[in-house]
Amino acid sequence: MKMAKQHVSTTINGEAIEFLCEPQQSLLEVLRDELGLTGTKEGCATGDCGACSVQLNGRLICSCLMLGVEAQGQQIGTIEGIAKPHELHPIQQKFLEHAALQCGICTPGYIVATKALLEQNPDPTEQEVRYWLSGNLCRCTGYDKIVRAVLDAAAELKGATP
Amino acid sequence: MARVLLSSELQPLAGGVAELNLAAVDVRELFEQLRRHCPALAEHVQQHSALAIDGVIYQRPFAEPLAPDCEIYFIPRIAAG
Amino acid sequence: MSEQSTPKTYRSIGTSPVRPDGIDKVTGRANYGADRHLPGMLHGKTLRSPHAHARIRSIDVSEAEKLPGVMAVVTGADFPHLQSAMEEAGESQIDVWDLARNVMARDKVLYHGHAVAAVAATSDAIAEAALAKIRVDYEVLTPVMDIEAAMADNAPLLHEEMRTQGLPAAADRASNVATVIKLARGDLAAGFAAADVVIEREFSTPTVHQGYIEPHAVVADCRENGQATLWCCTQGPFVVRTLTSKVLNWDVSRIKVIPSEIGGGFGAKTTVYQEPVAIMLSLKSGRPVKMVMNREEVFRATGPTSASRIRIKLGANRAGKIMAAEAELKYEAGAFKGSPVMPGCMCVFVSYEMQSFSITGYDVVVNKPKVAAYRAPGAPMAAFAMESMIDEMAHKLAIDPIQFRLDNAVREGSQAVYGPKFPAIGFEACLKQAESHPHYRAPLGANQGRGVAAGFWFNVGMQSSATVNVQEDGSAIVITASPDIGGSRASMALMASEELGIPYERINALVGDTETAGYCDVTGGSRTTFATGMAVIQASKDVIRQMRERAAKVWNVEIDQVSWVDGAAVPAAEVAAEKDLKPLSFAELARNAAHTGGPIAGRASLMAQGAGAGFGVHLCDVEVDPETGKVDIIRYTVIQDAGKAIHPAYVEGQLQGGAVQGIGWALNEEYVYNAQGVMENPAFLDYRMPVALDLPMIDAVIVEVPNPSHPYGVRGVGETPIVPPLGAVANAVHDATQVRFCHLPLNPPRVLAGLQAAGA
Repeated sequence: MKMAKQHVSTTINGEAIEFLCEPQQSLLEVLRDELGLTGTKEGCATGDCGACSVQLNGRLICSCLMLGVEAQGQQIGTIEGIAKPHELHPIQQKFLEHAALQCGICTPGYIVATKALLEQNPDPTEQEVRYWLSGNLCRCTGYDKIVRAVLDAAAELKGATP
Repeated sequence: MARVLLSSELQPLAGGVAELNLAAVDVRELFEQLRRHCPALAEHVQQHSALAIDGVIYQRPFAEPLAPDCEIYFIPRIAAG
Repeated sequence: MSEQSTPKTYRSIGTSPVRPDGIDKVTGRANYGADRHLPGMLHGKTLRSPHAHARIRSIDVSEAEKLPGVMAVVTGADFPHLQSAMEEAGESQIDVWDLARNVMARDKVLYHGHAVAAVAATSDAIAEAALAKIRVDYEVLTPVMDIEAAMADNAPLLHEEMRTQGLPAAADRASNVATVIKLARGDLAAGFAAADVVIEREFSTPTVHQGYIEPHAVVADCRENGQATLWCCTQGPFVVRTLTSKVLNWDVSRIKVIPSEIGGGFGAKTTVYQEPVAIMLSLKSGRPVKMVMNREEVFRATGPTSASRIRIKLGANRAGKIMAAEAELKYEAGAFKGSPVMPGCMCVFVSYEMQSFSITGYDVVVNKPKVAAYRAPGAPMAAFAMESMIDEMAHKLAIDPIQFRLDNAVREGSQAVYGPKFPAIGFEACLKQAESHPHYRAPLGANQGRGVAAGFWFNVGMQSSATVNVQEDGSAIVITASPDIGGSRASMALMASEELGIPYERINALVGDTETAGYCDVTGGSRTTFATGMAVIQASKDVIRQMRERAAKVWNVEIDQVSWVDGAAVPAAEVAAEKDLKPLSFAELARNAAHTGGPIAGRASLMAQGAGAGFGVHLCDVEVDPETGKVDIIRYTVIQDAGKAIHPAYVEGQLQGGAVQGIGWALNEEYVYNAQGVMENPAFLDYRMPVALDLPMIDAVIVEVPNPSHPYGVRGVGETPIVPPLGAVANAVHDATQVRFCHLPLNPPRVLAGLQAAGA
């Protein structure tokens, strides 16, 4: 028996959003297939690669491990909400300057994960950065330039805070 | 004269010979000569081989000029990733 | 006067600016294979074999076709039957019947996960439900899961028609050995007799996957007139078009391929899996069809690289010279013939001078997915074995490992194992860098060890095209069909900027498709900066020639009285004085193009020859925990000859990324199969690739020994970095533990068992 679609009211990147989804659809599927927000990527659908990273009420999660219906009444932050109009976020800028992306498929996940990290710990050590980002897989870079970009973004954001 | 040096893999296709000297001013003539003298070898290298002319590797060469006394090697075409 | 020759000090190349596609990639705008939606699009799913080896007696799709929401079902019967034939397919030749049967099984399934049927439906859920309703009657056969089993007498045969090629006399019976290769030179017996030390060992490496984060994805859209458009992630849109056309037996002009952005390939996305199937489903249903693999399908049913068994015997004299070497390489091809054992044979001894050698290679089919290219295909396994032997020999002779390599290294003029003499190469330069690098002298602590290893890759040239369109505001657009996997748009823009003499920021580099761009072979083979770059350089020179023509017209002089300097047309001294002429800049000539003859556009298409070989040397420090067997990488340095680094930061990126794939291959990655031939770890949790916490910073040192066949001296860099790490890590573990490990991966249980066996 096919179940009826569920109506969900949520907030995505600060904007009130409503959608219909089937109960078994993951938040990742909803973002990509129902809402056209394809910046969040599927690499594995089992929570191992972090390409689907989003923030749930500020907390870093894999959107493939959350159901769309669980977004009811929550705040979701995706890659699409990170830049300001006409202005990249310093994390995005540092990833570009440090050549911290090659194919770029993991990059949205990393930028969301980095934002979540720096909101929690604005002055991480290299080890702390590596630990925090171990939920994100990158197959192209070997992580060196990603870690440098994150440390540089942390320094920039610290310097900018009054 | 182009000196064509054959690897141990290709020598059987040339009747066991390790070296061929062919009069050719370019690759096209080289293959014409090869088809005339060693048709089995010619067919094999046309399909499977790249050409090294004095150490520089050419894949699917057609009419590249050959210096007098140049050294030719057939090497397997490399597929890469 | 003529065009200026390319100068040795550069304005643009050798810098590391932000890439033109960067903003889209950090904001989530960039569209990858799975990011395309078309109106009316259906979801395609594949039914895959539950058996590693079986005959298909019958397939009944009638129940599936009846399910509401199912718009098309295809099986092997929907695809043309082809003759086995080797045909051109990009870099080399492939057997089109093997490819077609891999895309969709016909009378046999040859690996667990082999595609048997496919369905297009209005939702993923309905498509999955339809798959469950397809009834396949299998006659299960005994699977052959490794080289030993495949080569045994009376082994079950995967292909009853396969006769071993390359034997001295034609084979009289079928076999699982597709090809035997022999390369030999000199007098092996005499060589070993002259050696003071002879060592012999056997090595093995497992099946490993390229591990790209983006699963294969395609959207196919067939029109009412039979024309098909494919949107897919690929390393080569033209190669997808060629291969798809062969599987379907269509003219290539019926197929348009638009390459999406690509989330990693490393060689694996130079072939086709879903593309012909999606087209067939779209043709049958009359609607666009999207097919996206899940991660499990990527592991089970795409193209990992060969597992290998390699035996090497090495002889050297007390003075440290290699006297003779013998190697036997057996590589698994997977379900169809065609492992990279030939390049493996060509690479195993390639870095070293030797008068006498014998190399035998076997291409062996087994009931695993057909292997696909993985970064320097065939070379990493061979280098693991040989670099371990070199390390052991150096120790036995009490010679420093780098010195031993220097004493035997191939140089310009050395005869390569595969025949020709090397032109200028950078192996010695890399070894010297390694020797003088602070890493090599840094002190080591308890349970720590250091390993050195070298690597080589041929790099290829092949076909590329480029167009440079001059815009009226003095900017330029560069169009090629090389998908951008690692920053190549930036490199193209840098090379165009260098040639044209206009700033990098005034150039936009785009990736076209099979209808809007000229023919281009794959982004792979370490060829993009070299060959597509060469096309961009030539297309830019074409623009310069046209600009000089326009200036000559404006000034009413002969074209050879106009030269091009620093982005401007400059009149020859005599006419400049006589007619009081000032240089005309690129921007001015662009602005007036309509008045001087129309739009200015340059183009070039070429078969790039003279690709320069790339050598690398890696230094690796490890710490081995004697209680758990865990190996930690504590320091890693990559040194590689790039000829000329166009965009140094992206060259470093290739060095670091390739090294880390090799580290994963050495330490943890492997396909784990059960007795039924089913992979037990088809997920990232247990197919354990390196994560950020596993690694330190990777020091990347770019050596530049220019490739004499390229205007800037460029050598490809993408593949060589994966070749040394297997040996570097194993040699470091030996240094730390005094135990020689010859079988990968060096995961904790294996290392611990080895330590315990050695009585540590």
